[in-house]
Amino acid sequence: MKVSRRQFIKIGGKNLLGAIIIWSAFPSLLQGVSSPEAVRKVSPAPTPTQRGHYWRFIVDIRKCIGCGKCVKACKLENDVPLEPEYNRTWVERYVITENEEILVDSPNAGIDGFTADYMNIKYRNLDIRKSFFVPKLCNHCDKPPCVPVCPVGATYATKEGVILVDRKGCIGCRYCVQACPYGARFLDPRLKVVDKCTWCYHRITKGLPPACVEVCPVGARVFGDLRDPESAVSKIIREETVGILKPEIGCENKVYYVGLEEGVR
Amino acid sequence: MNAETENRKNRHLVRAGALLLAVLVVAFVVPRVMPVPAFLEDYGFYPKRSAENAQEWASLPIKYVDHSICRDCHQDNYGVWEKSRHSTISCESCHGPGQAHLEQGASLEIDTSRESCGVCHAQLPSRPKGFPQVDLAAHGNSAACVSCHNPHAPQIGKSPRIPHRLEGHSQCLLCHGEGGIKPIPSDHRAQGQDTCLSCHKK
Repeated sequence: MKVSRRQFIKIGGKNLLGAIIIWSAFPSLLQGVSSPEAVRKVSPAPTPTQRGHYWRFIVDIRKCIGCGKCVKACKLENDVPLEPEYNRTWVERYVITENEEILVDSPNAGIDGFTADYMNIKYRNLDIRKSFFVPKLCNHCDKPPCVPVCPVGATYATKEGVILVDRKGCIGCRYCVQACPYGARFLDPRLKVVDKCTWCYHRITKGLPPACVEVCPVGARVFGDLRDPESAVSKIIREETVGILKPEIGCENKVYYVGLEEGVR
Repeated sequence: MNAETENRKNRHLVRAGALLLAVLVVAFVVPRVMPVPAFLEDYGFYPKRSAENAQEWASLPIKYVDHSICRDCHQDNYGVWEKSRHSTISCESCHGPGQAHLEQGASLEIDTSRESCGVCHAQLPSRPKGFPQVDLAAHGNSAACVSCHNPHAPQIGKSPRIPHRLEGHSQCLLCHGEGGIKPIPSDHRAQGQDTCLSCHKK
Protein backbone atom coordinates (compact mmCIF):
# COMPACT_ATOMS: atom_id res chain seq x y z
CA MET A 1 0.00 0.00 0.00
CA LYS A 2 1.27 3.39 -0.94
CA VAL A 3 0.66 6.05 1.69
CA SER A 4 2.56 9.25 1.78
CA ARG A 5 3.15 11.04 5.02
CA ARG A 6 0.78 13.80 3.91
CA GLN A 7 -1.96 11.26 3.13
CA PHE A 8 -1.41 9.47 6.46
CA ILE A 9 -1.94 12.66 8.40
CA LYS A 10 -4.92 13.66 6.24
CA ILE A 11 -6.76 10.34 6.59
CA GLY A 12 -5.92 10.03 10.26
CA GLY A 13 -7.03 13.59 10.98
CA LYS A 14 -10.35 13.13 9.20
CA ASN A 15 -11.07 9.91 11.05
CA LEU A 16 -10.21 11.46 14.37
CA LEU A 17 -12.46 14.45 13.66
CA GLY A 18 -15.29 12.13 12.59
CA ALA A 19 -14.94 10.05 15.74
CA ILE A 20 -15.10 13.13 17.93
CA ILE A 21 -18.24 14.40 16.16
CA ILE A 22 -20.04 11.04 16.40
CA TRP A 23 -18.98 10.63 20.00
CA SER A 24 -20.20 14.01 21.15
CA ALA A 25 -23.42 13.63 19.15
CA PHE A 26 -24.42 10.69 21.33
CA PRO A 27 -24.29 11.66 24.99
CA SER A 28 -25.02 8.07 25.93
CA LEU A 29 -21.68 7.07 24.47
CA LEU A 30 -19.98 9.68 26.61
CA GLN A 31 -21.82 8.41 29.66
CA GLY A 32 -20.42 4.99 29.01
CA VAL A 33 -16.97 6.44 29.48
CA SER A 34 -17.63 8.07 32.85
CA SER A 35 -17.74 5.20 35.30
CA PRO A 36 -21.25 3.83 35.92
CA GLU A 37 -19.93 2.51 39.22
CA ALA A 38 -20.08 5.99 40.72
CA VAL A 39 -23.82 5.99 40.17
CA ARG A 40 -24.31 2.53 41.60
CA LYS A 41 -22.39 3.34 44.77
CA VAL A 42 -25.01 5.91 45.79
CA SER A 43 -26.71 3.10 47.70
CA PRO A 44 -23.84 1.14 49.18
CA ALA A 45 -24.57 -2.39 50.26
CA PRO A 46 -23.86 -3.21 53.92
CA THR A 47 -20.59 -4.92 53.19
CA PRO A 48 -17.11 -4.04 54.35
CA THR A 49 -15.01 -2.17 51.86
CA GLN A 50 -12.29 -3.94 49.94
CA ARG A 51 -9.85 -3.07 52.67
CA GLY A 52 -12.02 -4.66 55.34
CA HIS A 53 -13.22 -1.52 57.10
CA TYR A 54 -16.37 -2.03 59.11
CA TRP A 55 -17.00 1.26 60.88
CA ARG A 56 -19.67 3.47 59.38
CA PHE A 57 -21.08 6.86 60.31
CA ILE A 58 -24.63 7.74 59.32
CA VAL A 59 -26.13 11.21 59.20
CA ASP A 60 -29.91 11.44 58.94
CA ILE A 61 -30.71 14.78 57.30
CA ARG A 62 -34.43 14.26 57.90
CA LYS A 63 -33.88 14.26 61.66
CA CYS A 64 -31.34 17.07 62.11
CA ILE A 65 -32.79 20.13 63.86
CA GLY A 66 -29.69 22.29 63.52
CA CYS A 67 -29.08 22.78 67.24
CA GLY A 68 -25.31 22.64 66.79
CA LYS A 69 -24.70 20.59 69.94
CA CYS A 70 -22.54 18.22 67.89
CA VAL A 71 -20.25 21.06 66.84
CA LYS A 72 -19.86 22.21 70.44
CA ALA A 73 -19.28 18.70 71.81
CA CYS A 74 -16.67 18.04 69.11
CA LYS A 75 -14.73 21.17 70.02
CA LEU A 76 -14.83 20.45 73.76
CA GLU A 77 -14.03 16.76 73.45
CA ASN A 78 -11.17 17.22 71.02
CA ASP A 79 -9.78 20.57 72.15
CA VAL A 80 -10.46 22.19 68.78
CA PRO A 81 -9.92 25.99 68.65
CA LEU A 82 -13.23 27.69 69.43
CA GLU A 83 -12.99 30.24 66.58
CA PRO A 84 -15.65 29.54 63.95
CA GLU A 85 -13.17 28.86 61.13
CA TYR A 86 -11.67 25.76 62.76
CA ASN A 87 -14.02 22.80 62.70
CA ARG A 88 -13.82 19.05 62.64
CA THR A 89 -17.56 18.96 62.12
CA TRP A 90 -20.05 21.65 61.20
CA VAL A 91 -23.71 22.04 60.25
CA GLU A 92 -24.84 23.60 56.99
CA ARG A 93 -28.29 24.98 56.34
CA TYR A 94 -29.70 24.44 52.87
CA VAL A 95 -32.55 26.67 51.70
CA ILE A 96 -34.11 25.90 48.32
CA THR A 97 -36.37 28.68 47.08
CA GLU A 98 -39.32 28.43 44.71
CA ASN A 99 -37.01 29.94 42.07
CA GLU A 100 -34.83 26.85 42.54
CA GLU A 101 -32.05 28.90 44.04
CA ILE A 102 -29.98 26.90 46.50
CA LEU A 103 -28.71 28.95 49.44
CA VAL A 104 -26.21 27.41 51.83
CA ASP A 105 -24.90 28.92 55.02
CA SER A 106 -23.29 27.83 58.25
CA PRO A 107 -23.11 30.76 60.68
CA ASN A 108 -20.31 30.07 63.20
CA ALA A 109 -20.25 26.54 61.76
CA GLY A 110 -23.65 26.06 63.41
CA ILE A 111 -22.23 25.90 66.94
CA ASP A 112 -24.83 28.37 68.31
CA GLY A 113 -27.71 26.90 66.36
CA PHE A 114 -29.56 28.82 63.68
CA THR A 115 -32.06 30.76 65.76
CA ALA A 116 -30.39 34.15 66.25
CA ASP A 117 -32.14 36.99 64.42
CA TYR A 118 -29.17 37.94 62.28
CA MET A 119 -29.00 34.40 60.92
CA ASN A 120 -32.59 34.53 59.69
CA ILE A 121 -33.13 38.05 58.40
CA LYS A 122 -32.23 37.26 54.81
CA TYR A 123 -34.65 34.31 54.69
CA ARG A 124 -37.70 36.20 56.02
CA ASN A 125 -39.05 37.36 52.66
CA LEU A 126 -38.02 34.36 50.62
CA ASP A 127 -40.40 31.88 49.06
CA ILE A 128 -38.90 28.77 50.58
CA ARG A 129 -39.71 25.51 48.85
CA LYS A 130 -37.76 23.39 51.27
CA SER A 131 -35.02 23.71 53.79
CA PHE A 132 -32.97 21.32 55.88
CA PHE A 133 -29.73 20.96 57.79
CA VAL A 134 -26.74 18.95 56.61
CA PRO A 135 -24.15 18.07 59.25
CA LYS A 136 -20.73 17.54 57.73
CA LEU A 137 -17.55 15.84 58.91
CA CYS A 138 -14.60 13.91 57.51
CA ASN A 139 -15.94 11.08 55.35
CA HIS A 140 -12.99 8.81 56.21
CA CYS A 141 -12.88 7.78 52.56
CA ASP A 142 -11.73 4.33 51.64
CA LYS A 143 -9.80 5.97 48.81
CA PRO A 144 -8.77 9.18 50.53
CA PRO A 145 -7.38 11.85 48.19
CA CYS A 146 -5.75 13.59 51.17
CA VAL A 147 -3.45 10.72 52.13
CA PRO A 148 -1.30 10.19 49.02
CA VAL A 149 -0.61 13.93 48.60
CA CYS A 150 1.17 14.22 51.94
CA PRO A 151 4.86 14.76 51.14
CA VAL A 152 6.02 13.39 54.49
CA GLY A 153 3.53 10.55 54.98
CA ALA A 154 2.10 12.17 58.10
CA THR A 155 -1.52 11.33 57.32
CA TYR A 156 -2.63 7.76 56.98
CA ALA A 157 -5.48 5.31 57.36
CA THR A 158 -5.48 3.08 60.42
CA LYS A 159 -6.21 -0.58 59.88
CA GLU A 160 -9.86 0.13 60.73
CA GLY A 161 -9.99 2.79 58.02
CA VAL A 162 -9.92 5.91 60.20
CA ILE A 163 -7.92 8.71 58.58
CA LEU A 164 -5.56 10.28 61.13
CA VAL A 165 -2.80 12.89 61.12
CA ASP A 166 0.52 12.24 62.83
CA ARG A 167 1.11 15.56 64.56
CA LYS A 168 4.80 14.83 65.04
CA GLY A 169 5.23 14.22 61.32
CA CYS A 170 3.00 16.94 59.86
CA ILE A 171 4.96 19.90 58.48
CA GLY A 172 1.85 22.05 57.96
CA CYS A 173 2.16 22.34 54.18
CA ARG A 174 -1.63 22.07 53.76
CA TYR A 175 -1.55 19.95 50.59
CA CYS A 176 -4.09 17.63 52.21
CA VAL A 177 -6.33 20.57 53.11
CA GLN A 178 -6.53 21.38 49.41
CA ALA A 179 -6.85 17.77 48.32
CA CYS A 180 -9.90 17.03 50.49
CA PRO A 181 -13.02 17.40 48.32
CA TYR A 182 -15.16 17.96 51.43
CA GLY A 183 -13.25 20.72 53.19
CA ALA A 184 -12.85 18.52 56.24
CA ARG A 185 -9.29 19.54 57.13
CA PHE A 186 -7.79 22.72 58.56
CA LEU A 187 -4.52 23.96 59.97
CA ASP A 188 -4.56 24.16 63.76
CA PRO A 189 -3.36 27.73 64.42
CA ARG A 190 -1.70 26.81 67.72
CA LEU A 191 0.22 23.72 66.72
CA LYS A 192 0.69 24.61 63.03
CA VAL A 193 -0.27 21.08 62.06
CA VAL A 194 -3.30 19.85 60.16
CA ASP A 195 -6.25 18.73 62.21
CA LYS A 196 -9.38 16.83 61.23
CA CYS A 197 -12.16 14.62 62.53
CA THR A 198 -10.83 11.37 64.02
CA TRP A 199 -14.30 9.91 64.58
CA CYS A 200 -13.19 10.43 68.20
CA TYR A 201 -10.64 7.64 67.80
CA HIS A 202 -9.97 7.72 71.57
CA ARG A 203 -13.65 7.02 72.22
CA ILE A 204 -14.53 4.50 69.54
CA THR A 205 -11.52 2.36 70.43
CA LYS A 206 -12.97 2.21 73.98
CA GLY A 207 -16.43 1.28 72.72
CA LEU A 208 -17.92 4.74 73.22
CA PRO A 209 -19.66 6.63 70.40
CA PRO A 210 -18.01 9.79 69.00
CA ALA A 211 -18.87 12.86 71.10
CA CYS A 212 -21.14 14.33 68.39
CA VAL A 213 -23.14 11.11 68.29
CA GLU A 214 -23.39 11.05 72.09
CA VAL A 215 -24.89 14.53 72.35
CA CYS A 216 -27.15 14.55 69.27
CA PRO A 217 -30.65 15.03 70.77
CA VAL A 218 -32.57 13.55 67.85
CA GLY A 219 -30.41 10.62 66.77
CA ALA A 220 -29.43 12.27 63.49
CA ARG A 221 -25.89 10.95 63.91
CA VAL A 222 -25.28 7.22 64.25
CA PHE A 223 -21.97 5.38 64.48
CA GLY A 224 -21.39 1.66 64.48
CA ASP A 225 -19.94 -1.57 63.20
CA LEU A 226 -21.19 -3.36 60.10
CA ARG A 227 -20.10 -6.76 61.41
CA ASP A 228 -22.97 -6.67 63.87
CA PRO A 229 -26.15 -7.12 61.81
CA GLU A 230 -28.18 -5.74 64.73
CA SER A 231 -26.17 -2.52 65.06
CA ALA A 232 -27.98 0.70 64.29
CA VAL A 233 -25.83 1.40 61.23
CA SER A 234 -26.46 -2.06 59.76
CA LYS A 235 -30.20 -1.62 60.19
CA ILE A 236 -30.29 1.84 58.69
CA ILE A 237 -28.20 0.81 55.69
CA ARG A 238 -30.45 -2.21 55.17
CA GLU A 239 -33.74 -0.39 55.53
CA GLU A 240 -33.20 3.19 54.37
CA THR A 241 -32.10 4.87 51.18
CA VAL A 242 -28.59 6.06 51.88
CA GLY A 243 -26.24 8.13 49.78
CA ILE A 244 -22.81 9.68 49.97
CA LEU A 245 -21.59 13.18 49.16
CA LYS A 246 -20.07 13.63 45.69
CA PRO A 247 -20.18 9.95 44.70
CA GLU A 248 -18.85 10.87 41.25
CA ILE A 249 -15.40 11.50 42.72
CA GLY A 250 -15.12 7.87 43.74
CA CYS A 251 -13.62 8.35 47.19
CA GLU A 252 -15.80 5.56 48.64
CA ASN A 253 -16.89 7.58 51.66
CA LYS A 254 -17.72 5.82 54.89
CA VAL A 255 -20.10 8.55 56.06
CA TYR A 256 -23.54 7.83 54.65
CA TYR A 257 -26.45 10.26 54.48
CA VAL A 258 -30.13 9.42 54.83
CA GLY A 259 -32.50 11.82 53.08
CA LEU A 260 -29.79 13.21 50.83
CA GLU A 261 -31.17 15.79 48.42
CA GLU A 262 -29.70 16.22 44.98
CA GLY A 263 -27.76 19.46 45.05
CA VAL A 264 -26.17 18.78 48.44
CA ARG A 265 -22.45 18.77 47.84
CA MET B 1 11.12 5.96 -6.67
CA ASN B 2 12.39 2.43 -6.55
CA ALA B 3 10.99 -0.46 -4.52
CA GLU B 4 13.64 -0.24 -1.84
CA THR B 5 13.06 3.38 -0.87
CA GLU B 6 9.29 2.65 -0.93
CA ASN B 7 9.79 -0.21 1.54
CA ARG B 8 11.89 1.91 3.82
CA LYS B 9 9.27 4.63 3.78
CA ASN B 10 6.53 2.17 4.80
CA ARG B 11 8.62 0.73 7.61
CA HIS B 12 9.22 4.28 8.78
CA LEU B 13 5.48 4.88 8.92
CA VAL B 14 4.84 1.69 10.88
CA ARG B 15 7.58 2.64 13.29
CA ALA B 16 6.12 6.12 13.71
CA GLY B 17 2.66 4.63 14.33
CA ALA B 18 3.97 2.17 16.89
CA LEU B 19 5.89 4.93 18.63
CA LEU B 20 2.76 7.10 18.73
CA LEU B 21 0.77 4.22 20.23
CA ALA B 22 3.45 3.61 22.82
CA VAL B 23 3.50 7.29 23.78
CA LEU B 24 -0.29 7.32 24.14
CA VAL B 25 -0.28 4.22 26.33
CA VAL B 26 2.47 5.66 28.50
CA ALA B 27 0.77 9.04 28.70
CA PHE B 28 -2.53 7.58 29.89
CA VAL B 29 -1.58 4.53 31.90
CA VAL B 30 1.56 5.62 33.70
CA PRO B 31 0.10 8.79 35.31
CA ARG B 32 -2.83 6.76 36.61
CA VAL B 33 -0.73 4.00 38.11
CA MET B 34 2.44 5.75 39.13
CA PRO B 35 1.55 8.70 41.39
CA VAL B 36 -1.03 6.81 43.45
CA PRO B 37 0.30 3.36 44.27
CA ALA B 38 -2.23 1.35 46.23
CA PHE B 39 0.02 1.02 49.28
CA LEU B 40 0.02 4.78 49.73
CA GLU B 41 -3.75 4.83 50.00
CA ASP B 42 -3.50 2.16 52.64
CA TYR B 43 -0.94 3.30 55.12
CA GLY B 44 1.03 6.25 53.84
CA PHE B 45 4.80 6.13 53.70
CA TYR B 46 5.63 4.89 57.17
CA PRO B 47 3.28 2.14 58.34
CA LYS B 48 5.29 1.53 61.52
CA ARG B 49 5.10 5.10 62.73
CA SER B 50 1.39 5.26 61.87
CA ALA B 51 0.57 2.26 64.08
CA GLU B 52 2.37 4.00 66.94
CA ASN B 53 0.61 7.27 66.21
CA ALA B 54 -2.81 5.60 66.14
CA GLN B 55 -2.04 4.41 69.67
CA GLU B 56 -1.30 8.00 70.69
CA TRP B 57 -4.65 9.15 69.32
CA ALA B 58 -6.42 6.25 71.02
CA SER B 59 -4.91 7.13 74.41
CA LEU B 60 -6.28 10.69 74.53
CA PRO B 61 -8.54 11.35 77.54
CA ILE B 62 -12.30 11.42 77.04
CA LYS B 63 -14.40 14.34 78.27
CA TYR B 64 -17.92 13.24 77.45
CA VAL B 65 -18.66 10.18 79.60
CA ASP B 66 -21.22 7.48 78.98
CA HIS B 67 -24.46 9.00 80.31
CA SER B 68 -25.47 5.80 82.15
CA ILE B 69 -22.87 6.77 84.75
CA CYS B 70 -24.99 9.79 85.75
CA ARG B 71 -27.56 7.42 87.25
CA ASP B 72 -25.21 6.42 90.05
CA CYS B 73 -25.70 9.75 91.81
CA HIS B 74 -28.72 11.36 90.18
CA GLN B 75 -31.32 8.57 90.38
CA ASP B 76 -34.23 11.00 90.86
CA ASN B 77 -33.74 13.05 87.70
CA TYR B 78 -32.42 10.06 85.79
CA GLY B 79 -35.54 8.03 86.55
CA VAL B 80 -37.82 10.84 85.39
CA TRP B 81 -35.76 11.58 82.29
CA GLU B 82 -35.52 7.91 81.31
CA LYS B 83 -39.27 7.67 80.71
CA SER B 84 -39.73 11.07 79.11
CA ARG B 85 -39.75 12.33 75.56
CA HIS B 86 -36.34 13.81 76.22
CA SER B 87 -34.85 10.38 76.89
CA THR B 88 -33.24 10.48 73.42
CA ILE B 89 -31.09 13.34 74.67
CA SER B 90 -27.95 12.47 76.56
CA CYS B 91 -27.47 14.29 79.89
CA GLU B 92 -24.27 15.90 78.62
CA SER B 93 -26.05 17.32 75.60
CA CYS B 94 -27.47 20.07 77.85
CA HIS B 95 -25.31 19.79 80.97
CA GLY B 96 -21.95 19.68 79.19
CA PRO B 97 -19.06 17.20 79.35
CA GLY B 98 -19.03 15.22 82.60
CA GLN B 99 -15.51 13.86 83.01
CA ALA B 100 -14.18 16.80 85.06
CA HIS B 101 -17.36 16.68 87.16
CA LEU B 102 -16.79 13.00 87.82
CA GLU B 103 -13.11 13.21 88.61
CA GLN B 104 -12.70 16.55 90.37
CA GLY B 105 -16.30 17.34 91.25
CA ALA B 106 -16.24 20.41 89.00
CA SER B 107 -19.74 21.86 88.89
CA LEU B 108 -21.74 21.59 85.69
CA GLU B 109 -23.37 24.87 84.73
CA ILE B 110 -26.77 24.49 83.10
CA ASP B 111 -28.15 27.25 80.92
CA THR B 112 -31.87 27.59 81.65
CA SER B 113 -32.48 30.60 79.43
CA ARG B 114 -35.20 30.69 76.77
CA GLU B 115 -32.46 30.89 74.14
CA SER B 116 -30.96 27.65 75.41
CA CYS B 117 -34.28 25.81 74.88
CA GLY B 118 -34.79 27.73 71.66
CA VAL B 119 -31.64 26.28 70.14
CA CYS B 120 -33.76 23.18 69.56
CA HIS B 121 -37.35 24.40 69.88
CA ALA B 122 -37.47 27.89 68.34
CA GLN B 123 -39.46 27.86 65.13
CA LEU B 124 -37.33 27.53 62.01
CA PRO B 125 -38.36 26.63 58.46
CA SER B 126 -35.36 24.32 58.18
CA ARG B 127 -36.37 22.00 61.02
CA PRO B 128 -38.24 18.73 60.38
CA LYS B 129 -41.99 19.35 60.17
CA GLY B 130 -43.05 17.11 63.07
CA PHE B 131 -40.49 18.46 65.50
CA PRO B 132 -41.99 20.46 68.44
CA GLN B 133 -41.29 24.12 67.69
CA VAL B 134 -42.63 27.32 69.12
CA ASP B 135 -42.54 30.98 68.16
CA LEU B 136 -40.56 32.32 71.11
CA ALA B 137 -41.74 35.89 70.55
CA ALA B 138 -45.41 34.89 70.84
CA HIS B 139 -45.17 32.17 73.48
CA GLY B 140 -44.84 32.28 77.25
CA ASN B 141 -44.49 36.02 77.64
CA SER B 142 -40.70 35.80 77.94
CA ALA B 143 -40.90 33.64 81.08
CA ALA B 144 -38.18 31.02 81.46
CA CYS B 145 -39.39 27.85 79.69
CA VAL B 146 -38.46 25.78 82.72
CA SER B 147 -40.99 27.58 84.93
CA CYS B 148 -43.73 25.60 83.14
CA HIS B 149 -41.94 22.81 81.29
CA ASN B 150 -39.83 20.29 83.19
CA PRO B 151 -36.80 19.77 80.95
CA HIS B 152 -36.37 16.20 82.26
CA ALA B 153 -39.95 15.27 81.42
CA PRO B 154 -41.30 17.91 79.06
CA GLN B 155 -45.01 18.12 78.27
CA ILE B 156 -46.73 20.28 75.75
CA GLY B 157 -50.39 21.27 75.72
CA LYS B 158 -52.74 22.48 78.43
CA SER B 159 -53.26 21.72 82.10
CA PRO B 160 -52.89 19.15 83.54
CA ARG B 161 -50.13 18.27 81.07
CA ILE B 162 -48.39 21.46 82.05
CA PRO B 163 -48.17 21.23 85.83
CA HIS B 164 -49.28 24.43 87.57
CA ARG B 165 -47.06 24.53 90.57
CA LEU B 166 -45.98 28.12 90.28
CA GLU B 167 -45.02 30.47 93.02
CA GLY B 168 -46.70 33.82 93.51
CA HIS B 169 -48.91 35.94 91.35
CA SER B 170 -46.73 37.33 88.60
CA GLN B 171 -45.73 33.90 87.23
CA CYS B 172 -49.40 33.03 86.63
CA LEU B 173 -50.07 36.32 84.93
CA LEU B 174 -47.34 35.61 82.39
CA CYS B 175 -49.82 33.32 80.66
CA HIS B 176 -53.14 34.30 82.22
CA GLY B 177 -52.76 38.07 82.17
CA GLU B 178 -55.08 40.26 80.14
CA GLY B 179 -55.08 39.11 76.52
CA GLY B 180 -53.50 35.76 77.42
CA ILE B 181 -54.90 32.23 77.56
CA LYS B 182 -57.95 32.14 79.90
CA PRO B 183 -57.19 35.69 81.04
CA ILE B 184 -57.67 36.77 84.63
CA PRO B 185 -61.29 38.00 85.07
CA SER B 186 -61.66 41.73 85.73
CA ASP B 187 -63.35 41.10 89.10
CA HIS B 188 -60.10 39.50 90.30
CA ARG B 189 -58.37 42.87 90.30
CA ALA B 190 -59.21 43.27 93.96
CA GLN B 191 -57.48 39.98 94.86
CA GLY B 192 -54.20 40.27 96.68
CA GLN B 193 -50.74 39.49 95.38
CA ASP B 194 -50.67 36.08 97.09
CA THR B 195 -50.49 32.93 95.07
CA CYS B 196 -53.37 32.16 92.72
CA LEU B 197 -53.02 28.53 93.75
CA SER B 198 -54.66 29.19 97.11
CA CYS B 199 -58.02 29.11 95.27
CA HIS B 200 -57.12 27.48 91.92
CA LYS B 201 -55.79 24.01 92.59
CA LYS B 202 -53.08 22.52 90.37
